[in-house]
Amino acid sequence: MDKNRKIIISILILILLSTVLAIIDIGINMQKSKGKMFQISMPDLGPGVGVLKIYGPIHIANDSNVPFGLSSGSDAVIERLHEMEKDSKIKTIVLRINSPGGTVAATQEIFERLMKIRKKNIPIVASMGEMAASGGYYIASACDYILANSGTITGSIGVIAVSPNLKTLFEKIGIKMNVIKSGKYKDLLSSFRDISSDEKKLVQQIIDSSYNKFLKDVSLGRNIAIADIKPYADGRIMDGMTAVKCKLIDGIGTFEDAVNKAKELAKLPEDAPIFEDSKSSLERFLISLDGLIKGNFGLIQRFNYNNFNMIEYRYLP
Amino acid sequence: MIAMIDSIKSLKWVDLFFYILVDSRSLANIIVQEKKLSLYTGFIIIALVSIIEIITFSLFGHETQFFFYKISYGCIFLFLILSLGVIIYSSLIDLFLQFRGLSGNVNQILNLINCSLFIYLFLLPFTYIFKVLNFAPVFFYILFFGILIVWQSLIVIQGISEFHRISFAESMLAFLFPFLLCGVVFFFSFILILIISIGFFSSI
Repeated sequence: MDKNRKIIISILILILLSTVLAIIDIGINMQKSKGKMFQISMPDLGPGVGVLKIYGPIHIANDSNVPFGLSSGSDAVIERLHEMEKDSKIKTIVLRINSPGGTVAATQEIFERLMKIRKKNIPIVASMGEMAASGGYYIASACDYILANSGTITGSIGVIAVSPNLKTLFEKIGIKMNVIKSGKYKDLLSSFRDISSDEKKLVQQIIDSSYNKFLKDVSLGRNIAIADIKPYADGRIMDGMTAVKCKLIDGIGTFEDAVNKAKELAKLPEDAPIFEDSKSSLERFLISLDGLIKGNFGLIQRFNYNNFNMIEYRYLP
Repeated sequence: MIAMIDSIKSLKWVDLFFYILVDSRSLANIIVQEKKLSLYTGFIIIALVSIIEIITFSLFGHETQFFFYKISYGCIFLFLILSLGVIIYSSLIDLFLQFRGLSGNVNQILNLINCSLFIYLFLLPFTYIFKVLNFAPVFFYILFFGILIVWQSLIVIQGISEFHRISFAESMLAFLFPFLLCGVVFFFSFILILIISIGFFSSI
């Protein structure tokens, strides 16, 4: 064989050898770093804990608002609950709640879904973050076990409807609204005029009915009598410690404690895997981008005009 | 198939590798003579470079099972990206040469660029030495990468010069043309996107 050819073949063998060595090196490195840095979504095997995060106001979001038709709001929560219910790997669920509550219908939908899952003997543990008030607590009450931090704001059992009265402002700037309606209640809770006593009564009926449903559901979820809840169900907020005393929650603990409690209830080993939200990073990015484009951050979201004229299970200071 | 086995047995591909390393002008002549061999060898080189690049890059981090995705899907993806890049790049060089009144032969340039990628196979052993010694492997990876880019540029420039019997300077101009074109296109695209973004955000 030509001398030059021998040199080239030797070089190629050298490259091949270094490639094999590098692969072995990476393999050893992988063994060492198992469970440490850069843990990217792996095909975790075995039964584990499903985690669902409910952050912010609870409402039924318009899907068309989110890019590429991704679900958001309560629909996304219910969708994820369905996924976890069907997933044979998920034996227990931890709900991480950090919410001041939200609309009546959206909250009730999530509650019903959770109760159905609970009936299938899938233990659900709620972990409260900074706040799980009103509708946030309503959802938590559907869980088998509720844990909160001692500083968590919870309670606020009640219903609220807020409608701004802009009549004086409109008069000041000379705006008059022409309203043609089929019945006297058609523009109920209108912002352009004072509310009549009849209308107040009508809204109060809805509020009372929603409130009774709230009490009934909390009683059902917590397995305590309505009479025991009622003294604290006047809309008051309370911290975690008080909530334990009032039997609204089961104990004080962090998210980690909630995960451990869920494992205990489902009789899972300590090293059972945790299945986080199924949304890919791209989906999360698109949803966050949606919020960014619409300017849904901080104060703007707090004063969102859509919150008005809605009947809500919500802590609204 | 038989022809392919014969050409492998003939070890002509080894000569191709030899000339890539030592004599770009002879390499250009072989590409002209052995069209099929250089075409196949060129794309095999791209596949090898894709694997080597991913392995080299993986040496630096704490790898998890994600490495298996990188080495399988990642290699295929990189191979496709590199192939597409080389095809576009060689087409643009050929376009420039035709504008200059020279005969167009995109196949030759494509094979030349494919073969020139062979030198990137050295990136792994060179970098691996510093990784084993634990002596600034990332720095040396970047350094070697830079050196290999210059080396590859010289191979391509000399090859083009040999294909069309043009001066080194003119060949260099042809080599740089796609970069200049892309630079101009990206610059104007950036300006356009900037104007559209400002318009969009100010309308919210």
